[in-house]
Amino acid sequence: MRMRDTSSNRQMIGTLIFILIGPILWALQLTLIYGAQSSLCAFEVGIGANGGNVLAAGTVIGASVLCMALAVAAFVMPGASYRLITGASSPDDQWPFLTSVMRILAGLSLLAMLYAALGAVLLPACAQLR
Amino acid sequence: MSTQPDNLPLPNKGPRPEHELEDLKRVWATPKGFRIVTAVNNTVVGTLYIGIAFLFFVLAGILALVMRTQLAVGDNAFVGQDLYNQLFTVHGTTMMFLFAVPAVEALGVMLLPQMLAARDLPFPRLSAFAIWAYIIGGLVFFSTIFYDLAPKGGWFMYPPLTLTEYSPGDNADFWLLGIGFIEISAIAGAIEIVVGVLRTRPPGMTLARMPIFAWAMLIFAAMIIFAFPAVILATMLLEIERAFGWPFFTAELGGDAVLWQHLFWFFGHPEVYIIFLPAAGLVSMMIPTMAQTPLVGYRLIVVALIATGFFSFGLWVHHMFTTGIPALSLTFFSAASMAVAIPSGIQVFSWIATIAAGRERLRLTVPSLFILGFLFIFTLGGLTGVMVAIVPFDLQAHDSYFVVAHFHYVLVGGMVFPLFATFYYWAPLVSSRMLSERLGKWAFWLMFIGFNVAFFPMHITGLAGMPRRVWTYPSNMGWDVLNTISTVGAFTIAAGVLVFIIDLFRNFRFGNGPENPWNAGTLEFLPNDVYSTRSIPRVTSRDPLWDRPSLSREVEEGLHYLPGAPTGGRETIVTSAVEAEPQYVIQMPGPSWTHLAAAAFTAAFFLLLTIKQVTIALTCGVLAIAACLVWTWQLDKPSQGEVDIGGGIKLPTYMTGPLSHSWWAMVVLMLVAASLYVSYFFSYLYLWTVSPEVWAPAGSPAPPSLLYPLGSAAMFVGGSALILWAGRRLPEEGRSWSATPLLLVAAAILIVGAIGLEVLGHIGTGLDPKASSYGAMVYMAAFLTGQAAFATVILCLFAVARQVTGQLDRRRRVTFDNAALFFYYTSAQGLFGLVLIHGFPRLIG
Repeated sequence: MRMRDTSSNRQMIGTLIFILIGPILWALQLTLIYGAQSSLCAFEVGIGANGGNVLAAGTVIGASVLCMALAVAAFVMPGASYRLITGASSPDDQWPFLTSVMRILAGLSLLAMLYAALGAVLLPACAQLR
Repeated sequence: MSTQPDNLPLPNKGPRPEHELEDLKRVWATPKGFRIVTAVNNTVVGTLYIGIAFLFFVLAGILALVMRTQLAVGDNAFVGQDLYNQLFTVHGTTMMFLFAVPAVEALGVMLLPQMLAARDLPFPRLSAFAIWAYIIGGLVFFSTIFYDLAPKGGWFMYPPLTLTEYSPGDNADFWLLGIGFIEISAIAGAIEIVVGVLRTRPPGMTLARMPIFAWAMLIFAAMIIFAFPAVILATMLLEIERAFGWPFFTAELGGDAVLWQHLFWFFGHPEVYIIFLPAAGLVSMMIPTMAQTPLVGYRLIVVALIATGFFSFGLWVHHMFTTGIPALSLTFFSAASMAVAIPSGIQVFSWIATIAAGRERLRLTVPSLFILGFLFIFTLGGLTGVMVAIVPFDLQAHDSYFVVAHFHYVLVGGMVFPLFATFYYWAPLVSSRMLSERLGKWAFWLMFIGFNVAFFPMHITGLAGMPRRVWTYPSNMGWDVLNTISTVGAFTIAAGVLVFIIDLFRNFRFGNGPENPWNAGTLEFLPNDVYSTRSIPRVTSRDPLWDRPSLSREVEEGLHYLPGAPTGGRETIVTSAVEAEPQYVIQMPGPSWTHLAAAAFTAAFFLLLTIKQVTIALTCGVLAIAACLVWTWQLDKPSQGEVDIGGGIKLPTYMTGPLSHSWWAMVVLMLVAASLYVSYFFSYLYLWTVSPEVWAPAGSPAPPSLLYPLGSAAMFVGGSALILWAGRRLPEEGRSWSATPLLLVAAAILIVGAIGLEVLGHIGTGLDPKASSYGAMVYMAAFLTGQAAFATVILCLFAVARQVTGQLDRRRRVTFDNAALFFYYTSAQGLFGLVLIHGFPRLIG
């Protein structure tokens, strides 16, 4: 038998991704801020006095705000997020479990993103500081 | 909630026909005598796996005792400097690669089918292959310590120390090829675990009802899939530099030794959690039993496992705080190091809450003692982890004995103590006798006291300035007393382990032990035999044995699903990944010599390359591929029609396409390959940021004319189109002729041509891979895609052979689908590589 029911498969994989929205956004934020900041500093683009770099700091804050906003959106609108990812309506009996796990993970990820972004506010972007 | 609500009839009626049980016993029988090495049953290979992992623990522990004897007093000459370097390298490497990861993977192989009430994991020969490869490769690697061939660069093998100039001889190659090969074995096991957990759960075991250990193993395996490729790429780069002089890590030619650190620690830090998470999963299974109450905060623990798994990938730079990275970068990783403490803390509080909420006082059995020891030691390790996550403190403590103390508290506390609890708790699954409570308590107290005596003083030794990895120290530094105490502690731990070994010899006997001796609530304590459970229950709660006391009897009487062997062979039920609804019955392979031969020849291939026996190595490589082909030839059995598993459910016995387990396994394999290529992409960009002066077009020959990459791209796309077309031309059932074989061969030629043209173009420009890191990176892209293309060509030709012999058609098409999937992946990777290699220099030029 060859099943062509790819919507079911999409739902299976999509549900796993739905749970992981927060951590995926955290990983995206880390990639963006570390990649952008280290590249700009390596090529000395936009470096100012005392190792400050408005461009790098701005990129870090911008990427962080974007990723955090998406995590907040998923937190607030889990049903819409689920439909967007899986293309299916939410499963009734597992929905409390799925939403609570997704929301707590998104909350933890928001905290982790905030931690990382705070550095850009507090420190000069390209200085060694030692 | 009960497992089978009383108002619903059981799936099957009793009494069952007598032949059902006989069929199960015959089909799942373990081979006798010397043929036992061909066995694939999870209980047999899982026990072997855990046994060998424990052997490596003991061997690496003995090396530790030799080191501690050397360090007991200052100015000691018990062992020389060179041997000491080999000792600490092999100790660390063995503990991490040959003990810790294999031990937890072994527990997955052994326990998961029982916890999921599956007959076995979906690819039993793959598990057996991984295990044998690990055994052969591991034993050869460890034996190098006996003839002065062991690596000396530490378990992290940092270049430039490990480059040929500073580490001549074969010692470092044994690490690079031997451990690289064992990592492949770990990945094979991880693929098995991911597909097993997601697709072979019993009906009704939704994600919300999965045992915590299954969650932990799922995350463990996913972490292996994304973390191990980074270190595999690193070992490839370093071995290629050592063997052929491509300068990935040599600074004067544009390489950078810190690249190794990035790749190694992108693997190395998650590795800590790869080891810890399964152990935490085991603890989450044992505490509820010992407290006789459901786990408090199940959802929070699931969250904690996932969050820890993810955040651990954001910590790698916290091993590199002293490498000169800008301060802001360090804060990103310091922040992640702080963040990961939260989910770790959640688990600890959940365990304490479960103990506090127990229906009865926590039973202070041997598993409980080891768990309490784990909580104490791991929490201390976590606290010092937060300390070294703070950059200014780490700058002071880096490379000192403080760090040695910290990671031993985390790893021994976080993994070894739960493992010993596991030995005592789950021994009845494979031993007819329980292990001794009396000897177990002796073992625990000796290990617990010994551990703290050995490692707590190291915090002070480190803060007093003693560096790591020194073979001796002057007696006037004030470190002698602390070191002597540590040595006494180390031997006390060894005494505890010895007591455990005595307990094993006295009490461990292969066979099925007493039924549910701890009164646990999870499925692994159902009555078991070689076929796992007699029938597969429908699950409606997280603790089915507690919620339905009659479940054991019902399962044993065959009143639940699949009580026999309706296809006449080995089989289990495949369910959907989220809802765990039955989808089809998978036909599984039985014992065989093929995977054993494949493992032996693969190990020989890698190990012979180490000692530069290239011809014999290549011969072994060819034999390994041949063994794999014979092995896979026996798979993809034809449909047996629909079978009735009970409860009015009839399931197909053949499946292909996105719902099949083989499709899922192939997708996971593609994720592994993609992770490796992403690591390469990072390395390319990293070396460019470090040494833009060697990059084309200014510092190296400019890329060839665009006609070359366009030609390659056309061949990648053309080959994929041919594959697509071939899929539509598969013959009808019962026919063996169609245009598909010709199309497959043509596609294989095109993919080889695409890579050949790419290499030819760069040779034409005079680009030399030995001249600069840029040249090395350019050829490396073709090398990596060439590897994938090599596998693709074999898959295509294999599919051709299947069709020619009448074993591939429109219905029975798993072989073709797998080849097609990997062909598309390889083409996509190839196209991405072309854009990078030809586009980037033009972009920056």
